[in-house]
Amino acid sequence: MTASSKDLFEILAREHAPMLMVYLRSVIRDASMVDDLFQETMLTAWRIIDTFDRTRPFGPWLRGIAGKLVLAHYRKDARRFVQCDEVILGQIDYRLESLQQLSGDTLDEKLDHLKECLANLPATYRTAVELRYKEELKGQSLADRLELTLENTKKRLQRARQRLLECIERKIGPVSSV
Amino acid sequence: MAESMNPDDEIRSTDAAARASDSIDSDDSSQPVDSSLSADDRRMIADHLLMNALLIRTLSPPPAGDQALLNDVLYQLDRPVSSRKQLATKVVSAGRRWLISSLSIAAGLAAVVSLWFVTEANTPSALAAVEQARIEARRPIDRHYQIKLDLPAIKSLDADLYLRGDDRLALHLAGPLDVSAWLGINGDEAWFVPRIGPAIVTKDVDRMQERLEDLASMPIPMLNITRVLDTIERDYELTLASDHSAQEFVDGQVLQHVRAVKRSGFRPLLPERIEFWSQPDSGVIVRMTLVWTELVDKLAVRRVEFLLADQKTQETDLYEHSGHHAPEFPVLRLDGIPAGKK
Repeated sequence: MTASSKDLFEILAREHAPMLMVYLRSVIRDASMVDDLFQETMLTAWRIIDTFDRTRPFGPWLRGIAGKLVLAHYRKDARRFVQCDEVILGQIDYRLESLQQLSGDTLDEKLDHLKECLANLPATYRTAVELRYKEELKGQSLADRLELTLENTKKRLQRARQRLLECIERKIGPVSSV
Repeated sequence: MAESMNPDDEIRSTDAAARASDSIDSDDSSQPVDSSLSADDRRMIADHLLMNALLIRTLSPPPAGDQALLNDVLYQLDRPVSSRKQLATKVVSAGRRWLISSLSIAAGLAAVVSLWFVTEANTPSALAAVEQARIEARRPIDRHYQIKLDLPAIKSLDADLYLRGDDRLALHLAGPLDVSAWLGINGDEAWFVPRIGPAIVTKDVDRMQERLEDLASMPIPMLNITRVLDTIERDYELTLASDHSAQEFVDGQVLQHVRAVKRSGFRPLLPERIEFWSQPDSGVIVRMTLVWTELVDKLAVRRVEFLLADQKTQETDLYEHSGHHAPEFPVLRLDGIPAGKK
C-alpha cells in the first residue's frame, strides 16, 4: 500500500469508525469483543483496501467486512452477542446508511436529532432512558430506582426505544426496510 | 422506523420488540434468534438493537474510544511488514485479541488519543504520557512488578507480575492460608497452575475466570484492572500532576505523574482513581495505583498498587504453564469441554 492510499484509508476509516462501532455494539454484548472486532475489521479492511470500489460508499463496504467477522465469531461463541443473524445485521447496516440522510457532518452531530427526540419524550420514559444509559443502571437496580417491577421496567424501556425509533424515522423521512 | 402493519402483525412485532428488549436489558447470555421469526420480526429486533447502541453512543461517556482503537491499528500499520503480519495473526481470534488487550492493560497502560500526541508532541500532557507509556509497554522487554492488593475480606494479597511486551504475562499470587498460584498468558492461551489440582488451560478468558472463582476463591486482579484501564481515556479525566513529592524522583529523574479520576455517574465497577508514575524519557511505568471508594460485592478490591521491581530478562518458560509444574502434573484443557461442566 502506498503512502497516499494509506492516507486515504485513514481518512475513510476515521470518518466511518463511529458508525462501525455502533454497528458492532448493536449486536455484541461484550465490550471487549466490540473493541476486538472493531480493530479486526479495520485491519482486514486495510489488507484488502485495493478491492474497494471507490465509486461506492465506504461505510457499507466496511460494515460488510465487519458483518462477516461478526457472524464467524457468533458461530463460535454466541454468549457474547445480544441477537445476531444475517437479516438483523443487514437491517442495522441499512438503518445506519439511512441515518446519513440526517443533517450533520459526523455521526455525533447527526445524533443531535436523537437528543431532540429524547428531550421530547414523556418524562417517565426519559427518566428511564437516562438512568439506563447515563447512569448505566440495569436490572433490579434500575427497577428499584423507577419503583417498578423488573418486567414493567423492561416494558418502559422498550416503549421508550420504540418512541425514539419512530421519532428518528420521522426526521429521516419515509424509508423502506431492506 | 416501525412499518405500518395489520393487527396480527402488530402482536407479532410487539413480541419481537419485547424479545429484543429482553436481550438488551438483561445480562443473561444471548439466545439464538428464533428460527420461526419472520424477516419483519428480525428487522424489528434489529431496530431496537440499533437504538440501544445509538443511545449508548449518545448518553454514555464521550465517544473517543473508536478513534483511540483506530489509532492502535494505524500505529501497527506504520510498523515493518513482519510486525503487521504478527498483529494480523494475533487478531484472527477475538479471544486471543482479548488476551492481548488484557496484557497491555495489566501492565498499567491505557489506550489514549495518539493523534493528540502526534499534534502536540512538544507539550507535556497527561494524554501524551499515557500514550508514551502504552507504546513502551508493547516492547518485548521483561518487566517485573510487585503488586499489593487491599481486600476487605482477607486484608491484603501480594503478587508478582511479569510482563514481556504485549503478549506474555505471568502472575504469581501468594496470600494467607497457604494460597499460592501462578496465572499467565503465553500470547495464545491463558493458564492457571494451582498449588494442588490440575493446571487449567484455555483460550477463553471468561471460562478461566469462572474456574478460578470456583477453585481458588481469590480475586483476579488482572482482569479487573483490564476493565479499568481499557476505558481510562473514555471514562476518566486525566491530568498531569505538577506537585512532585519525594517519591516521584528516581535516579535523579522526576517521574511523570498522571492522575485519572473517573467521570461521575458511570461504570460503578471501575476504580474512582487511577494514578501512575512513569519515566519521562522512556515511558516505563514505575508505579501505578487503583483505588475504589465504593466497594462492590463482586469486586471486593479496595486498592491495587503496582511497583516496578526490575527489568531483568526472564526465561521464556516463565510465561508457559509448563514452567510452573512438573512434567507429570495433570493439565485440564477447558476448550474441549462444554461450558458449564466443571
